[in-house]
Amino acid sequence: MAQRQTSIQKRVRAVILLASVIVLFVTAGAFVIYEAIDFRAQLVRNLSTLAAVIADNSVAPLAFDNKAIAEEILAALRAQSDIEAAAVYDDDGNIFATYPPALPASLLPSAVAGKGHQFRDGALVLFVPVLQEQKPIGTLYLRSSFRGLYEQLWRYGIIVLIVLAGAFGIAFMLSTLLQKRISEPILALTQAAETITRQSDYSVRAPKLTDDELGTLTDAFNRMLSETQENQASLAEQARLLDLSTDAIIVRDLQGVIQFWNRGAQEVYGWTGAEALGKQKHQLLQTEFTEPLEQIMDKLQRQGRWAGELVQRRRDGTRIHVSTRWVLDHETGTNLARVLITDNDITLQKQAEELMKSEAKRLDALVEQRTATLQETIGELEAFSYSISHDMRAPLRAMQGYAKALLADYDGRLDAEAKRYLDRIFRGANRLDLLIQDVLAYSRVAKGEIDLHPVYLERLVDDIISANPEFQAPLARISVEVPLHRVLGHDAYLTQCVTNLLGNAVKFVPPGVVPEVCIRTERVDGKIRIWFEDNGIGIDPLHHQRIFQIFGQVHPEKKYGGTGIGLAIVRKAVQRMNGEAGVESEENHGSRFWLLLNGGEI
Amino acid sequence: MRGCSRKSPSLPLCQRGIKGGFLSALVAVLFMLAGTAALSAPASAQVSKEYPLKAVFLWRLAQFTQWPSDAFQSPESPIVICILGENPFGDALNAAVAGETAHGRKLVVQQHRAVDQLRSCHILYITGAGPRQAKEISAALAGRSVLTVLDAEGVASSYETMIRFLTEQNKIRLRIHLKPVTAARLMLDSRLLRSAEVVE
Repeated sequence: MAQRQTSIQKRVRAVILLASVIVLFVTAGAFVIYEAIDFRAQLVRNLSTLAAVIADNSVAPLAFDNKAIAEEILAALRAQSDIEAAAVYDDDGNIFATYPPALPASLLPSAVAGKGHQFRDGALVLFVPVLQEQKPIGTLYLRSSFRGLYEQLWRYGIIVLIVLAGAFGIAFMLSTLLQKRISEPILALTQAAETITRQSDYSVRAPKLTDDELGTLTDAFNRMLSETQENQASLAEQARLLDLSTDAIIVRDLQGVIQFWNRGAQEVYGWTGAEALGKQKHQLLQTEFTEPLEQIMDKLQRQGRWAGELVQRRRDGTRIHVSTRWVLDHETGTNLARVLITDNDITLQKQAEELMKSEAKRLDALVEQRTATLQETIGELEAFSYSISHDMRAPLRAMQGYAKALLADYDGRLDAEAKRYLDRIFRGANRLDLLIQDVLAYSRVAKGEIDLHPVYLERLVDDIISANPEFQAPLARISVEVPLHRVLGHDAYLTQCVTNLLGNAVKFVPPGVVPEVCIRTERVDGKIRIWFEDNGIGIDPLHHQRIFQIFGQVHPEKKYGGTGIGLAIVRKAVQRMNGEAGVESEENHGSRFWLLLNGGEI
Repeated sequence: MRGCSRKSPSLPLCQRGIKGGFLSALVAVLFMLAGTAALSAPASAQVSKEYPLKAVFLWRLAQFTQWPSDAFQSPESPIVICILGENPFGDALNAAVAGETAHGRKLVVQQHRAVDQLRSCHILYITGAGPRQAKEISAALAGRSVLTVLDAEGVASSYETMIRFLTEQNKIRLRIHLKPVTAARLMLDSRLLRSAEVVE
């Protein structure tokens, strides 16, 4: 600091010196001017005093007309070098005596004034009356040059210059000492500020050298430094936390220039913060947009945020998928709005997704293929079982026929035992025939295309009742709640269903009870539900699911008979008609079977 | 001037002036006939330039001389200038003292023939004295503070005065004898002494 005159030192010194020099000049100037003014008055005073003495001394020579003495008296003026001329005039204005004795006329006044002085031709001219007993007896004339004035002013000027030089020297020394009091605290501040700027070290503190305003300034500076240091620390902490995030956190301005780039961004994209800052984000990352950037920015402006997926490139050129969320930061004002971007790499998820998609597609195809094969097999199986069933009926009929014929033709020759055996063969064959018929019916229901059309239930039910005596009185009482709604179905399938359900209803009744069945329909959510409510033995809710499966019979067949396929056929037939079947029942409280089908109204 | 002439008691002075010349005497007579006393100027003009100057010198001596206080009866008492014997001034002295003062006192001119009348004088002007008269004067002035002036150029006088008018190169000069001055308890202004020839 000592070898280099800093600006503040120069300035303070210059101010002190300037002030001192101005004060000195003003003082000296005032002094010289005062002297110049006062000198004239002094000159007049001095000359007047001298004149008074000479006038007094001139009284006697004048009074007694002694010219020699008068001249002698005037000759005493030799001692006064400024006196250029002197003269004594008598009462009549005639020259009585002069000094010097041979006085050139040019130094004499043109006219003799009574009294007074005047400055003329660079000299002071004075007239004094010579009085005796208060009466003028003559006039004294004195002429004094300004030489004394000029000499005195010149002397003053030299003194002033010497004093000025000395004072300037003293002021210079004092300013050197005094400027330190002002400049040193400022220099200390400046040095601290420079250190901070150069090293970004906010732990530096400026030394406090004085207790005045500069001291206060230093304190405030140091306090600000402390706050900055704390802020710096908390910012560093926040930045560290931001860096901990594995998500890429990026801030860019509205022109796309990257302003912030955390460690997560470095990990995701491979570019370091130093490389990324100041670059165009989408240029750097070769962003592929799924929708135009203008559209995204428009959304961002309107809604303040946008989220989506982008394809970008890492530093090593790898394409990556990122899920990105953009938030508009208005905090710093509209013109300085920024976009906070959080990206995370979803390439792996994307790949997994793709993989899963293709796998699913492959599986679908496989399933389709298998299903086709299976259906083919099923078709073959069904055709096979149909032909088997059909072909099995012929030997059965032979068994039935011949058993019957044997019983009828050889009634007397067969003992009771033989008849019982024959009867059992006959019934067994009957039962097998029924079974085969049901299996055929199920097979018919299960396979083949059907054509659905509106079905008039009332007529269908009437036909079924008319065709089956066991559904007629006195064996059973079947009532129909007309009108029955039309349903969308298939005649043969529906006949099968209704026949099976009515057959069950009249079959599963307690002994000695005449079965009663009520048929009605109701509209449910645009569909039609057909109810078959009976007064039969009912079904335990435990068995409600099982009874619709093949061979899902609950009751021992010996008690009620039946193949155990009837309800399975019902369900299958209803499903083929895009419907459902079900039951509501409790044991010993009758059953309420239902079929749910689409309505048959156009 | 005229008023002075009127109250002046020295009519003989004027008469002396007439003797200065026929024409002037004639004019003076004419003026007197006119009943006025304002004749000093024409009269003095008739006198040579020497005497008006001497008249001035004479009364001005009063201004340069300090009398002891007992020389005056009262503060208002005038300074009396006496001329013993002949009056060579004519009217000039009266004219010269008119309106003038010395030490605040008026100036009065008296002409005496007898020595015994000199007791009231403050300045005595003589043009010369014989031995007998000198004795008389000395006796008359003994103990008195009277400034004596002799106007006797080239003339021997038995009475040595304090001041003597001399003529050098047409200039009137003064010679002062200090001894009698001090003896008479008079004090002369130093400026006067400087302008005069002083004899111990």
